[in-house]
Amino acid sequence: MVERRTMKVFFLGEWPRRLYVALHEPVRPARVGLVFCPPLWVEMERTYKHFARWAKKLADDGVAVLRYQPYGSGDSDGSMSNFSCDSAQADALAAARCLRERTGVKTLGIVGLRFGGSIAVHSASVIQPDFLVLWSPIANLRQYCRELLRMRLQKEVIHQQCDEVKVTTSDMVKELEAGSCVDLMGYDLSPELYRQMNAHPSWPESPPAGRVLWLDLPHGRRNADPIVKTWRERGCRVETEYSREAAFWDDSFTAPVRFEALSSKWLEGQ
Amino acid sequence: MTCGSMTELVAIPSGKNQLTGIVHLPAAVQGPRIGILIPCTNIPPKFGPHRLFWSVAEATSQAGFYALRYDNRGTDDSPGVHDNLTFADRVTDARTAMGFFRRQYSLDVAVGWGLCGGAAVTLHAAASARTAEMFDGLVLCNLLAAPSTVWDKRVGARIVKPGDVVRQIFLTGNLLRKLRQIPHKLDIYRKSVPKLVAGLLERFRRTDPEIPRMRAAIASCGQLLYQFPRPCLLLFGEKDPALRLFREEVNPDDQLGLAKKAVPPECVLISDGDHSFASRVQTEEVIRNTLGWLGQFSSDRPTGSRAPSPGERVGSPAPSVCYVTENGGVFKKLA
Repeated sequence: MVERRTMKVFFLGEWPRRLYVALHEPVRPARVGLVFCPPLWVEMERTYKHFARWAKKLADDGVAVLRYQPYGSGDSDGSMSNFSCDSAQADALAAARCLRERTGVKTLGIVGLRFGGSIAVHSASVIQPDFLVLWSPIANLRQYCRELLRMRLQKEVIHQQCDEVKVTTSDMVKELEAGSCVDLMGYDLSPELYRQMNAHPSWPESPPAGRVLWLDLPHGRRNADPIVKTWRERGCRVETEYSREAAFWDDSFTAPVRFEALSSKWLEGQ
Repeated sequence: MTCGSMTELVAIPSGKNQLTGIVHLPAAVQGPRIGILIPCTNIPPKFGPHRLFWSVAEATSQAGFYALRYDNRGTDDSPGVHDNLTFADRVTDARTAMGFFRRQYSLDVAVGWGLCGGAAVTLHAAASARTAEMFDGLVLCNLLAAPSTVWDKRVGARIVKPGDVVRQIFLTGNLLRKLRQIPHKLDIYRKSVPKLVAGLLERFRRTDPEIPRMRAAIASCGQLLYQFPRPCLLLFGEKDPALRLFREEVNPDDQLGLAKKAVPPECVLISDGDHSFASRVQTEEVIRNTLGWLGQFSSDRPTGSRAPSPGERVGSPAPSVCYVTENGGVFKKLA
């Protein structure tokens, strides 16, 4: 069978601040370029396989895809305590620049899942993509941060079968405010990331791109609606779909079948 | 974990396939060139759960060892798409990666390091390796060796038994407290009850032909462990079901005879340890024990020497936080 795509894995930037990158390119010149902004921590692990597989499929269909692992995560340099919202946005920008330079694509889009969706939106003003594809983006980082802290308590009760948790969320908040990292299931939450997630402004009122596809679960609608309304009022073409897809980032074995199909179809029109 | 070591990307040819890997290079090598191969588990890619494999590779390279992590054929960052990767494919990939690692980096000693299903793969690869792919030692973390854990491709998940469900609900913990909590946990039940029902019905679903093969492979792990003639370190998380299954199903009362082996495995229990050692303390313990055990290969050992002589006591890891070990799968807490 004739290969319709190529795949290159490389480090972007110089040691010790290299980003691990996988670039999928169609053999023919790509019609569209996509940067995948990954979610955070365990969600990145669980969805990695699915994103990699989808990227290969998209490249078969003529789309160039660049997947990257933010600084301090995955196979990139740096430790998790170096990871912050600012560094994640800088990495998204570096990834977009790399894709443009390497492939020469005229049309560039960003796909962001969960925390990656938030990073995609916040970095769009600098990257200036033609479109965004958001999969259940985290619109409220403060609330998400609380959920991350609770993750540790869940782990102690469920996986370590503790009758009582060793630390409470308020203990962890105190630790972070005192300038120490907090260990969340093996991931370091840095005081800087905590501060940024809590202080992070609400999503920009100006649309991040001319066209946006927002896919979410039904319960995500409450967060999405006001933002979508504002963006539409400002001339953005936003399409939304609230699908009964399982929360695939919570379960490694569930593939994002519906999100993938809807996005692929939407991308054909770009 | 600091980021000290240099890494380089490698493409490992494996028949018609290619594996994408990363080698962590030691800053300086004194004595024999020693490498640690880390096959990936079923789900997280080559950096491992909570970046555990990355951390182990970083720490070992800073201690003067080479480390190779890779993605299996057609998955993650390896080229191609392989939807039905079998256990045998993963074993072949591990052997191929080991052959490549030894050859390309002129290693004198090479050790396999695996977690859960990755540990089972490592053990099988070591058992079937040719000389050029040889494993001089094994570090097996939360080894998946109980066939009852294989009921679909989610290796490591156990089939849901109605008896277990009833026992969990009614016979463990405080029933009254549980009943009182119900109104507050409706949201959780809304998600978990359908999953539980699906789990209970799972056994009636048509079985993938790979499952019996995988089950057989996992079932043979105990025997392979007994037959493996070189040093081995077994690391278990105290709270991980793999430990209970190893004690109760795989090696009750040391039925396998691990304690009587010429080179018995070292067993270390990580206090409060869970399945992927998901905390900073646990990760550090895993690394410390791994490095302590690896020390046996580097100290005063002439280049080219492959394994300790029969009966030689393998290097004991420094005492862990509060536990350890009696050989042969029986664990005792240290005084």
